Amino acid sequence: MVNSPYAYQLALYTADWVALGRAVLRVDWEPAREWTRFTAVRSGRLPATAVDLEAAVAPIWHPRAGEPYVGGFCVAAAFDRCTVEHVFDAGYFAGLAERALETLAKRKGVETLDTAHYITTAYPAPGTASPAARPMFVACETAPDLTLQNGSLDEITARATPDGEATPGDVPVFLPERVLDELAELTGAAGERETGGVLIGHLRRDSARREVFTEVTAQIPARHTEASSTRLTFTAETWTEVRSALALRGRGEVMLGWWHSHPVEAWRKGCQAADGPACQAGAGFLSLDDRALHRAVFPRAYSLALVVSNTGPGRPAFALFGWREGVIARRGFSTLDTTPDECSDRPSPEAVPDRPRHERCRAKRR
Amino acid sequence: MNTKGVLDLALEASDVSGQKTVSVSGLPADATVGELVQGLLAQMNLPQNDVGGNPMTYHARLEREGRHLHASERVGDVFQAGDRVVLQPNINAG
Repeated sequence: MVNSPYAYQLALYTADWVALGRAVLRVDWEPAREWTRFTAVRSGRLPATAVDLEAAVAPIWHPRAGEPYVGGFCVAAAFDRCTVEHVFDAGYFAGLAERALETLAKRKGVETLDTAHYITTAYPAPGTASPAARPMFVACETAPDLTLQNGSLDEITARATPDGEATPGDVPVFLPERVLDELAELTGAAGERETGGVLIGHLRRDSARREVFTEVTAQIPARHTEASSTRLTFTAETWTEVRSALALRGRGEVMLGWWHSHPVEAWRKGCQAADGPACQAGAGFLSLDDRALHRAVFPRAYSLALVVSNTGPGRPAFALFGWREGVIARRGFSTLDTTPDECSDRPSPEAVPDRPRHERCRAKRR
Repeated sequence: MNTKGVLDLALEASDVSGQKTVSVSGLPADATVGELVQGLLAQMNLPQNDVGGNPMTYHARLEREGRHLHASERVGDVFQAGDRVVLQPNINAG
């Protein structure tokens, strides 16, 4: 539960600081609470089992403008007798500002209102602190089946190749080349339709380095989906099969995230300069739907979303996203060369019925 | 099985990724599975609407029986002690 006794608003302006309008924010504080929790777990201040945290959000006033202008906010989360805090900047509201701008643009009958500024304000709202309607039953969060397995960051880094820009503070992520090969193959096979799946593996802790890192071990293709060139629906049956495949592997892996493809080449076919966003899209972005899926299904701070963009002949482009300061952001990762042992480490056909068989296990692509 | 209309058992409920798990108690026996799901979404802080503001569809899968429960089923009729239910959404990527 997150207690926030303030109501937040956005004031929107054009690039020339002409006022566009105001928007009342319905802030989703859960990612901030989770980031606060995970940061404390990562640094060893909380055990990995600490999940049921009561959190309180307090605005931090802008250093020059003062109240009610928000420069950031602080989340204080309590577990057992321990309280951990984390300070967020106003960038947390950027996504909400984008949405508010879109709504405003629709209302004004224009396509976009870009290069705009926004200012966040907060006002005491005693009503928000009062308890909501009494729930029908009690639901207490319990620790999921997640164990931080031991691992050596130095050892895994020694056989890894950085890919993409690394941002200080991000949890290191390692993706095997053979998994990327599989994704490229599945993306190619899907043609002009989107396809996707789930990334599985381990969250590991290097006790010596006091650091946590993520090792993807395999991917499970999503079946029973409904796919078009611009949409991929993961159905209840999709999740049932993914969970079954994960259990059948029996290696203690957990769902670390998901992946899906963007058939960018197909989107661009016949595009005119003035066509819509799908035509203009480049490689490597998450749509609003993608972000909503990530929030709904992969809310933990270590969760990943990988976009495979099929932009033309040759290898597709990979873009990895993850949570950073409670916001979904693009991030770097490292690839792991395939070792001979890993040639037999793919999900067996029995584990994923009818999954595409790959003809070879590349020992090393580059 | 129940006293004063409240199920005398605890359930475990999780999101589809297994990343969020809750222990559920004090469940009215005559509550429907649909009411259970809506209550869980709120208490687990899971989104109830998609980006267009439309209600999202979540199915409750009873692991013991390996089936999706119907929203109109009564919890007192379907659950046993130690049962685990998984909330599985129909959800779009774009």
